[in-house]
Amino acid sequence: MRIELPEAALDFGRVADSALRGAGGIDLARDAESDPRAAAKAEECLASIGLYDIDPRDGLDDAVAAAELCRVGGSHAVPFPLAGILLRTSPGTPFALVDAQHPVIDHALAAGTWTAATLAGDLFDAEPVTAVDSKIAPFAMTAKLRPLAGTATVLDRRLSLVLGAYHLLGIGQRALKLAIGHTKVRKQFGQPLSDFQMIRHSLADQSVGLEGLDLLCRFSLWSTFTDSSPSLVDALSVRLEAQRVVKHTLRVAQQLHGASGFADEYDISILVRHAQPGLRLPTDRGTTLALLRTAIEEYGFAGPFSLTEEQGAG
Amino acid sequence: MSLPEQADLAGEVQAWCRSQDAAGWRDRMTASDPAERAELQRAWFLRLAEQGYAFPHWPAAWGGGRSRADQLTIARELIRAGAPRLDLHFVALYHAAATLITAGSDEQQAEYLPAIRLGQRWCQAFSEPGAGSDLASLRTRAERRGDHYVLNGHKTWSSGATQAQMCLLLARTGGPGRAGISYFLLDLSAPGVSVRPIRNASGHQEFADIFLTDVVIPVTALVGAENEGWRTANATLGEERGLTMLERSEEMVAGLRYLTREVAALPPGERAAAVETLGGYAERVESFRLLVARVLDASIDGTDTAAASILKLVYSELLQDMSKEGLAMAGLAGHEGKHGRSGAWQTGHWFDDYLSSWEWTIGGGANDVLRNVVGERILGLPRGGSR
Repeated sequence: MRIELPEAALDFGRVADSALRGAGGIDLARDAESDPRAAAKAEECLASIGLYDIDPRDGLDDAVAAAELCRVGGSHAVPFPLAGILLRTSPGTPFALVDAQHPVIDHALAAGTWTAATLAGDLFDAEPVTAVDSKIAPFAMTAKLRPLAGTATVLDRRLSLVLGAYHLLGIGQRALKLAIGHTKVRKQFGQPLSDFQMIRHSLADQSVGLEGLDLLCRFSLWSTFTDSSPSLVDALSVRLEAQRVVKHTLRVAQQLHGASGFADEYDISILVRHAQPGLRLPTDRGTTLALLRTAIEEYGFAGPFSLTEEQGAG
Repeated sequence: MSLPEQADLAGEVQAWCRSQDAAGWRDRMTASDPAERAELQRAWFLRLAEQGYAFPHWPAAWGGGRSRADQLTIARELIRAGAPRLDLHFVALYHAAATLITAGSDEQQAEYLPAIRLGQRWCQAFSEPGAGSDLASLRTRAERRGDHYVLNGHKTWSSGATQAQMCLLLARTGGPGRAGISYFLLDLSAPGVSVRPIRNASGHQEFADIFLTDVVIPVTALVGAENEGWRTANATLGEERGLTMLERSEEMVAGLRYLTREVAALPPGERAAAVETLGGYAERVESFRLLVARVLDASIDGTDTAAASILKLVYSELLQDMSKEGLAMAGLAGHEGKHGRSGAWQTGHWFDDYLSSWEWTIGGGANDVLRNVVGERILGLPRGGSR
């Protein structure tokens, strides 16, 4: 198992962070709701640091760089479908996992046509149709699917899930940072909120959760390239954990901000809103869990409590 | 089981809602922009008021005087009929009215209660950028100069302020802490008042900043005695909380119905677990309704604000859990606008309901602070170092 990130990938993450910060950081997401130029600016910034030179399918090194980029992008709620573009099937055709019954793609307008796949591997051409009409998912659109011959590769499906988890990890890490910053500065009852023990405990819990998620992300990315079975178990596990941990961290961070947490002038409010599609597309937690159960029944999994051949498969 | 007279009243409210197309009003409000919505809501409010359904909880002398059972029946049937909520008149009907009735002068009552009945909207300006949970540290000043006060300060998180005409205001007239705070009625059209909407996490503009710069108000705008505002605010907050929770508890029953619909729509294989979940919520909703009844009964001889704190704790967390469950059950369909099969519980959209429910653990006293109140005032634990 390899879970240390190479220094080069960490460096790349720092470069990406500083570039996105320079381009406006969370303000890009804030602006993008009313001005499509903000999304173009985000793309320009990402292209300038080498977005289009990364091919996560190429091997673990590129995949790690892609993952770092998704994590950092998430931490700025960047208004651009980073994972989809990284996994594009041809220039200008991004890739997304969808639910075939309710095909919804976030930041769908980034391309006229997408390649979409279900978690089972059914392949489609997807064309963005209409915005989902929710203020909470400003860039999500329903899509029209046209079946394609063939099956999406296991690698593509795993990478899409794992990069999605990295995106959520970045969101969670930023939420925690914002909560720590706010509770250190905000004074009530004559002292900073962070002096209250309950608040310190709550922040510590979030940080432990995110550390665990970070390690699980690294493990799942590694196993994406080293596990030769067609199983999505590791990728679904990390998605499930990301959904659990990040949803909770966002909730706690917003609560600790008090009413400010609901005001768009504060970054946490933007982050929470823009996190929602990633938490739910292509599967909400219930669906992720159901798929994970099925996958474990079918393939077992190689964790410390793995099902042996005799015990396994139901 | 309802008593016969309650069944009669329920039938009367149902018939009236049908004749008025109550659900149609709600749909029109959902589809309109904020200014249109405010006008529609006022028109709907006036119809309700004429019928005696808008403020049944007020004293008889002011046009209410209905029994607790009647109030419940009216609230329940309006909610069942899909009638729109009076969110923009909420502060006026509950908080402002309770303040005026329990602490207002005869002149204040005579001026404002009839105005509220005609649709005057109120908001509340308590919180400040530096004083949220620690409200007693508020800094907005009211300086007495002859027969008037001059207000200066910045209020925030004022729900509905952009659509309101009047405002309940807490400002400092004396020294630091609770003992230096007074309670005022502020006309938002007074020179020097400026209201700025705040866009919130669910993408709406529900609350606002209120800036006060050398605003001159007459001494007759003071409620009760100078520096007694904290006590007034506490008394009326508790009263308001109990009564509004009566309506909210009936809304919970409606929420449960929407949840049931989602369960019914699930594929048969997923239904068994969902039915169990549903059973759990049915229990929680029922115990919340009983809790509301108990707190209201206990408050007949004087409001018990500590007990009322429990209601908000239970309500806000139940609301969040049920909205989350509804969204999970609706699946991706819950994300699609107002057109899918998504529930129409609070906003017509599970996703919006879910995120909006989060505000409830902050507004009206953050749950963290309310837990302190329960610990100290109900359980008798020593006061923490929190104030």
